[in-house]
Amino acid sequence: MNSFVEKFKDEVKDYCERLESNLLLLEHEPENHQVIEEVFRIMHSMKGSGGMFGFDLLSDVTHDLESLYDIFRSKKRQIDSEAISFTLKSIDGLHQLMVESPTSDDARFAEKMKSETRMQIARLNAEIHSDEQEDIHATRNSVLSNLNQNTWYISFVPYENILKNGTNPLYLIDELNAFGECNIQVSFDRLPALVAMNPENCYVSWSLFIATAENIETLRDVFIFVSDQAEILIEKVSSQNVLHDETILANFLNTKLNEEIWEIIESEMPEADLLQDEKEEDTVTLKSSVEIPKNSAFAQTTVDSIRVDSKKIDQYMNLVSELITAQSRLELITSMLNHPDLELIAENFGKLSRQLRDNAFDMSLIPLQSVAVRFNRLVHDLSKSLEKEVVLITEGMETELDKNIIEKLIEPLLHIIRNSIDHGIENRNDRLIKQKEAFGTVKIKASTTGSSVLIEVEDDGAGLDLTQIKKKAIQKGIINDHSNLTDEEIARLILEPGFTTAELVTDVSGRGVGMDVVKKRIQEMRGVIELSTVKDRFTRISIKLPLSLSIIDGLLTMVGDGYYVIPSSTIKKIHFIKSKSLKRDQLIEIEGAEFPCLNMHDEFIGDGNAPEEQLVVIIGLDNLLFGLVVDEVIHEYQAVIKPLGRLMKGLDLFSGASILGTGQLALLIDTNKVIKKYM
Amino acid sequence: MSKQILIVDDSESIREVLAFSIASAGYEVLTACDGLDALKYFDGRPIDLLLTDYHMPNINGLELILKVRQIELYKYMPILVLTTENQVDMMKEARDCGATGWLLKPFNTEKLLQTLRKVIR
Repeated sequence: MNSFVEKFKDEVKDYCERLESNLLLLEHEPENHQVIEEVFRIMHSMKGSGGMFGFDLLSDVTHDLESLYDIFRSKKRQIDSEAISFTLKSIDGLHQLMVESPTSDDARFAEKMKSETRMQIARLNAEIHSDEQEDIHATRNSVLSNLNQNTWYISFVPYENILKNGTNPLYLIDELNAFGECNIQVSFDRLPALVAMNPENCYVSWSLFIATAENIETLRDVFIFVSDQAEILIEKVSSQNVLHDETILANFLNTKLNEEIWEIIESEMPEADLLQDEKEEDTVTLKSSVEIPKNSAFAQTTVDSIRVDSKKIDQYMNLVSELITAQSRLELITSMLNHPDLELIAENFGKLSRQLRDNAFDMSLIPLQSVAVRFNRLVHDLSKSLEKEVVLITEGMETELDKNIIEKLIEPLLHIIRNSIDHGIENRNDRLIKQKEAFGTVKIKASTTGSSVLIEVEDDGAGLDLTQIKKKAIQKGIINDHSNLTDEEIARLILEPGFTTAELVTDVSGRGVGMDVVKKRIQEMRGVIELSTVKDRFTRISIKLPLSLSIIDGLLTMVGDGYYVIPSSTIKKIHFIKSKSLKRDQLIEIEGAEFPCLNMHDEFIGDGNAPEEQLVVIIGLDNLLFGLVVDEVIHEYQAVIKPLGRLMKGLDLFSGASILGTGQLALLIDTNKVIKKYM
Repeated sequence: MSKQILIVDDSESIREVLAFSIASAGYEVLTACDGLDALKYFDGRPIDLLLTDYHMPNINGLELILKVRQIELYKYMPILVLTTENQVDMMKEARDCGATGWLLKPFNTEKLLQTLRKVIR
């Protein structure tokens, strides 16, 4: 310890020298606030260190000097020459006080210095709060007597932000625990749903009974650092250890609970009054009634959403689809039995299961936002590696889609963005030559249109080079030399298998598995992909997708003795037609429009026994019309789509199957593939 | 591994007595003579507690806390401020800057370790 003391003495000498030079500076620049701060700081250090090393007199005197300089520091008064000379005189006195075992003379000297300082302070008309400090010491000492164990109730409800200051609330509970026997309850009442939870917040609170000989001051001291960051309640339960007397504890808690309820009622009453005659209440009452804090234990936290394992949603969807199947079976049997009561029930059941289906369907939708971060990341990474400045703008990311669709959509979208940045957006110099902004823009826009979702990816790059595309397509034998194609058709060529436009295959894109894969993926989801481009302006790729894959509205039709479902969203019209007027793969003319058609009876059954009168279901896709000729249209049907088994994968005209109420199978016609195959 | 505590004080004597007491209690100790000097330690190494003086040249205690709290790694590190004043507004100011608590001077070893145990185990 002695070496510390020696060091401290040296420090004090140093402090005094610095004080002197600063004070002399102040003579000339009394307004120099930095110097005042420095003086104050030195005094402060001397006070603190003096106390540490047993130089209590020094510490006492500097304490008062510090108070004096606090007046100047807080700009209550400007320092004057009298104060400066007084301080200089005091500094000489400080040297005298540097004694380890002070005599009564020293103490008297210190007292004199202190009273002089206080006179200075009084002169400067400032208030000193040193009395308060003494008071605190007095109370501390007086409560130090009771050695009997008392039982206390402590409620510690940290505010959510308590962790922000590096406080670990558990340590405080530990500290209490060390004082004596504890009965600790943790409350998770405020814990929100996982999705609403901020991992940086504290939602836990504690209440405990403790039997200890410590006094309430000591218990309060545990929470000294968090008194402004928690609701802390310490109450005496008994003057003995009653931790094991459960009746007393339970009674105590009951009384507490009642008190809390009353507090709430009292705090809410004025508000209720307010609502009744709002106009008559004056603003003062309004303010005071609002300010009454509601007890946090009873404060309702509304939870807007919860997070559910996606497997559970899948299970739920599956069960709902089974229910729909059972429901259609019930409907079928009811219609055969012709029992009015049963019909009523079946009808109600049908209505409820449709609502349940819609609800389940809604639940499985997730916003595109959930994957937007991947787009951002890709744009960021690519713009770095390709040294192009690219800004990503997203719009309508709140648009919801079936999570299965979103999962399948990510790769195609990333591929499109990759293409846009790699091939579309020019490098900085080229852009400047073209008088464009130096940075390129990729825009992803999503919106809901009826039962489908439209997603557009647009870049403001060079646009597609149609001449180059045509040349490439001829070279690769995708089209022949004489094909007379519109610009739009040429642009669509990039969606053909084996087509890649980049002169050099780069790391980023153009590995041959290009846009054709994107197109295939989109079509697998019963989606449509479109392109539009203007040279040196933009390239826009639009994707239209159904909201969900698993349940669709369809039209149940019959061909021969087999059932087929045609998605309602594609159906334009249904017409009667004489089968004799049709030949295989013929064009058919209805209401002046001519379009190709497929007689499904001939195609699937091929027995030549098609009924005389058939129906043509006209489907439309990409402005194209196509007729599906069926034997019979049964009714509209909510098809719960199950994937086809492995052995059925070869049937490329169908994208799934649905089980009818009778237990029979209906095949879902993949309109995209049908049109592609027969047009 | 024992906990590492960074002591920042411009008074060499205080620094040494703190370092001595804290190291004797089994903690690892780092020392710095002011805020600026202290900042060099926040380079990604684990620091389990920052114990800093209030008034210091160059960068003072509050400025140091503000700076340190901005570093993600030390966002939740406990910080104690050494202070003499039993003044509410000064402690409040320190807390607003992100301090966890304070240690009042003068203190004895027992008081020091008791305060440390409030924020570090």
